[in-house]
Amino acid sequence: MKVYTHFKKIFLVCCLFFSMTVFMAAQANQKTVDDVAPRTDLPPLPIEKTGNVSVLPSEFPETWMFVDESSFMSMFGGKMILLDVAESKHADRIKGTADKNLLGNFIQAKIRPEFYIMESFHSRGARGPKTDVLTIYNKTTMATSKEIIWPDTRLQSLPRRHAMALTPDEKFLFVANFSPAASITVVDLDTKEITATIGTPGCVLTFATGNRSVSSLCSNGGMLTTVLNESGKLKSQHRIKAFFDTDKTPIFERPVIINEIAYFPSFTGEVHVFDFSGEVAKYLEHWSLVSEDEKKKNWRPGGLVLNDTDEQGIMYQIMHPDGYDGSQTHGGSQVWLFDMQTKQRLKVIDIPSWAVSIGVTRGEKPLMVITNGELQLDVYNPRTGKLIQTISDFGNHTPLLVHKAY
Amino acid sequence: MNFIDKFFEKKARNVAQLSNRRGFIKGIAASLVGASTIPLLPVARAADAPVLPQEAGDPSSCDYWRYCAIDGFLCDCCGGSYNTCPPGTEMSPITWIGTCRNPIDGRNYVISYNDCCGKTQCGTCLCQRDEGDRPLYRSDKSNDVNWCLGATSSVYHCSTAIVVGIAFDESSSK
Repeated sequence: MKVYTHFKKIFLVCCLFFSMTVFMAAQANQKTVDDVAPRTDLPPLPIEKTGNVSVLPSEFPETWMFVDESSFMSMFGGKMILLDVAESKHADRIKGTADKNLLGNFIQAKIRPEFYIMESFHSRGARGPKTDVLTIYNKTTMATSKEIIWPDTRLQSLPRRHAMALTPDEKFLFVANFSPAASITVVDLDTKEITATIGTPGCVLTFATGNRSVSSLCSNGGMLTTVLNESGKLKSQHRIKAFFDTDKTPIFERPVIINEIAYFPSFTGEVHVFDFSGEVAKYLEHWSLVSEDEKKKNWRPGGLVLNDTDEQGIMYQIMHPDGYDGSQTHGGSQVWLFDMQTKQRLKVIDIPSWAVSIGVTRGEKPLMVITNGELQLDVYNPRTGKLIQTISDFGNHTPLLVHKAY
Repeated sequence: MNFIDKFFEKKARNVAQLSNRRGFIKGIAASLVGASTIPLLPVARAADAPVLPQEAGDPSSCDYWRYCAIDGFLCDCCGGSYNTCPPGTEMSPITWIGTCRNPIDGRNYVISYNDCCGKTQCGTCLCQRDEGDRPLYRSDKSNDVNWCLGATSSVYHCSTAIVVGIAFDESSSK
């Protein structure tokens, strides 16, 4: 006991001595900097121009992603954060931001150097007249290029990939409205003018179909395809008969779409397949993501933005065991990878920090980005299943959705 | 555990089946006819203490029975209550509904989750249960929508859980 006390005293003295040494060294260093004599042999630093603003490249690297910081805890101050998820140096991760107020919706064009944010403002913060506005951004300057004041009530909900859609040639933009009457507004992106607002009674969201069509999911378990003419006005509408029971066998309204084939998972793991390549949506088939054994353990899809796809056509699906009616939005402890052509599961990746939402980068060697239970981003290598890094402190409060960036 | 759950569920469903609207009206009608034939004795009236409807639980707790389908901040923690908005906010008249079972009387009730709007998020007592919640295509049952779209301000503050009816079982309405 005595030996121990003696040792403790020596240790404390050592600590004190070390601290004093560090302090004195810091002081000495400071003194050195202050006392540097003017170096007349060196030219002075050049006078710099003020007003510099960075510009982004015309094509974004594959590892850049748009993070939807929804600002769910305040609704003000939502934004899209352009982030390099492969960058390990914190200061180099953020590439730019764009504001997105009151749970705004986002979509990026691939051909046009633009992205689009559908947002809302009250004139005096939380009060005063409300204006819905489609804000068009230039992707390289991240500056607004046009605002279109919205004549309808745009859809305001938790973030999703299909609140807006583009025709394949990016001539027209479809925007979902919900007042709660459902409709779609069409914008001609050449003229930046609204061409039509088309009622879609009982049917919501926008899934691009063929060259000039858009499909919506309906309250009766069917689908509605709205076909435009070349002027962007209504040509025809077609109802596809019910393929699920909205009460008893509900599906998620969040499909992955691979080469114009859409895969809608159900709450219990059945996947309903639609062909969106023609003028009118066509139901193809359904099959199960879960085996009979897994069904017994109630393995189910779940999460907020619960799936995504890579450019090789692999579906990444958040899954959880012991599912029940109510667990469908809560996320999961695993991600399952499926080849949708062969209907085979390729891999299971454990997510120890829980998965709320998922996004996958572009390219041949994609990265998997998980919004985890702490609302940070976990970046995984999906080929090894290993966690590469966790990204936080980038202005993230509720980064609920991650988009590919082009 | 599953067995116990199933047992009570079956019991509760039986009760619910016997307590649909038509059955209730039929019962009222029968009791009125019956009552008119029985003299009202003073002794009998004094003995029958009125039976009040009952519910139990903590309305500031996420496991309170009315919150079965909710996803939002509980107004009970924000200066309001389970059926009243906090001061200075506005209750949205348009909303989504859920069906929750009152554990005290075993009945299923239709719960209207009216949002309170006009101030930024309350920010406490976040509760996500989602039982019976459906995606946007069933907007009447979807809590993903910002239902403050029906109020003067679309800024969401918190959610209430108001009993608006007794749910009747589909099988007993045939």
